[in-house]
Amino acid sequence: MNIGIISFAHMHAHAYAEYVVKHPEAKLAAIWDADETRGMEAAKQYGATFYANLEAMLQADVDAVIVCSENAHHKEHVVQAANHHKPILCEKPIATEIDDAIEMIQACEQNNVPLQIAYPVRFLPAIQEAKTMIEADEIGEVIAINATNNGKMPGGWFVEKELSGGGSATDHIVHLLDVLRWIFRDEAHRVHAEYDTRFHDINVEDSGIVQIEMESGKVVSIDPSWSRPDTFPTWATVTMKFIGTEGSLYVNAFKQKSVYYNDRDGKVEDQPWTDDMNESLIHDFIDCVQTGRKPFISGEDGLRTLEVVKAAYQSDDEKRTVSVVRHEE
Amino acid sequence: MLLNVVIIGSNDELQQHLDAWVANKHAEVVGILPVGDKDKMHIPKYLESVIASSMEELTPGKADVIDVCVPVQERSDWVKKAASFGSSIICPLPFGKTQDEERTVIEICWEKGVSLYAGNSFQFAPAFEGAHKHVKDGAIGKPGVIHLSSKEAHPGGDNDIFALFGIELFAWVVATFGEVVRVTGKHTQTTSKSGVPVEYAVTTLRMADGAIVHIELMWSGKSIESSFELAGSEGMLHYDSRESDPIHVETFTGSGHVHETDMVLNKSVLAREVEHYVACIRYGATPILTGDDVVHAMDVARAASVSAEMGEPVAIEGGVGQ
Repeated sequence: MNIGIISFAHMHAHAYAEYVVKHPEAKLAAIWDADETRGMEAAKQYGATFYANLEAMLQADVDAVIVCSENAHHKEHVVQAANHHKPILCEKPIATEIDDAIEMIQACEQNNVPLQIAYPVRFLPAIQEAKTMIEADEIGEVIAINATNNGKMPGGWFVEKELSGGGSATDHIVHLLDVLRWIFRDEAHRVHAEYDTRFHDINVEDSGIVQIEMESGKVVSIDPSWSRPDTFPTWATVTMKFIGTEGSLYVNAFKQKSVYYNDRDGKVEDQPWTDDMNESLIHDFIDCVQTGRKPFISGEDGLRTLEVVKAAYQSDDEKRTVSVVRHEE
Repeated sequence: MLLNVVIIGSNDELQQHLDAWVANKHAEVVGILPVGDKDKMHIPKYLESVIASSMEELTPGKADVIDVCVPVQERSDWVKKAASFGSSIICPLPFGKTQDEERTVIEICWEKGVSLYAGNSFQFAPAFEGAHKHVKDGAIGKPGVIHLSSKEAHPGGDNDIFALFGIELFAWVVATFGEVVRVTGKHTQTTSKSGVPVEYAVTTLRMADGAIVHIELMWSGKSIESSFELAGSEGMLHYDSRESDPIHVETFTGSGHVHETDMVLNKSVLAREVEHYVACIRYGATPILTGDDVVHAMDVARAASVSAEMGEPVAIEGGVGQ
């Protein structure tokens, strides 16, 4: 299977490229990038053909595409790829605007191609194990969840609102909310958020606490902040505490690591040793294309989390709790 | 000159407070009023002569400080009685079963010119005490996102979790990070299959300086746990009681033994609290938790409760000192 990558703007594109190259039944055949220098370097690194023109790449022998452009460009690239009947894996968040997300979903439906959104946290072994344990009723009925996805500030276009759609709230809420929707088949009902820029000299938010009341009544807290200090031993953390009628379950998804006290470089570094979520994500997408099944994580999943991100921004802006509106696709 | 201390207490609390005062070299226990079954309390022989059976038996003016360590539902009554002695009073938070009781007690002490010091296990738990100092010293720079959590077994009965359980953490937050301007609270409760109540509450506090604080309160299970993560512009402090227990033990027979706490200390939390308040009463040191802090924390607790009820954030008017 020939895979094309649309843009290396998102740093995950490198992980995806690597796992496509390693996959026994796939090949990284093509790369397009608005940044030609960056695209050509990547093409050289992974042995792919660089296309200066996206239309040309989509007309070439490419069976599926992975979209890793800036958030604001997802719509343009996904719609274009859909019109060329290519199955699509699109980075998160699905888009920066709800109308864009709806247009993307419709374009893929009309062209009968799968649209999968890249939510790798579902593939973390510890998260999958936690889901299994919760479904086995180990802690009874869950009444509340306290979740964090914190990282270091990525910089670049991630902090330019016209390209990213927002700061840490846009970057991180979606990972956690997607997992909760997946585990509990539940939707957000009302949202309250407090945001600020406290850690970095940037023009988007890097701090936040979001409280969500789910339709089921579950009380959810999410911390999406870019709050990891420079000296933190790893890039990001994902933690989820589930409180149930029969007990509580705490998962620290990146705790499976050795700690390396690196005197050579003067720092302490985590060395994770569990399965790589990005590898699992790529394998799942390739399998989806090969078998023609419905994507594991759909455009609708992407839209649902974007709706909550938007409601949370409105809440912070207006200093009140906001009801989440779900849109028809 | 030694500080004269009278202790009014019940059961385990009396025992723990007695131990803390006896260990303090600047104080002398001159009166003990056991509340409840005296025979269940192990008062050392050499102190038996100072045991009183009523307030009237204690001599007003003889005590420099009265330590009231009784269950919550009895605190406000005993603090009011103690206030008539004119001595300083130490009482754990909350000062009463309801905020109205607490505010009445605070007013009475103020009217009588009596200093009422708040006992707060978080303020003097060494991890939290140290973190408070580090934050004040600028170790984390500009506070950004602050997480705190506290868990203990459900106390039974029908209580306001924010007023009864949250108050100590709210007070620590106010003392450490200052004024709160907005509070958003959420509360949920359920019952386990065996009929044991499970209660959970979260509060988002927006501080006057812009910092965002998230506090999680859990009444469930058996274990006592607490944690904090204090992230700021120049660094982050992290603590989790589940990761700090210095002793793990596996026994090969029987049901095994789980170590109960990470706080393996020579100087107990109470002894540290006593030491601090002795310095305040004897030497005029500024209390780490002022009366204004306590009142503001109570405002926060009340706002959290109202917010949880209404489903909307609640603004705090006035702030500390109002």
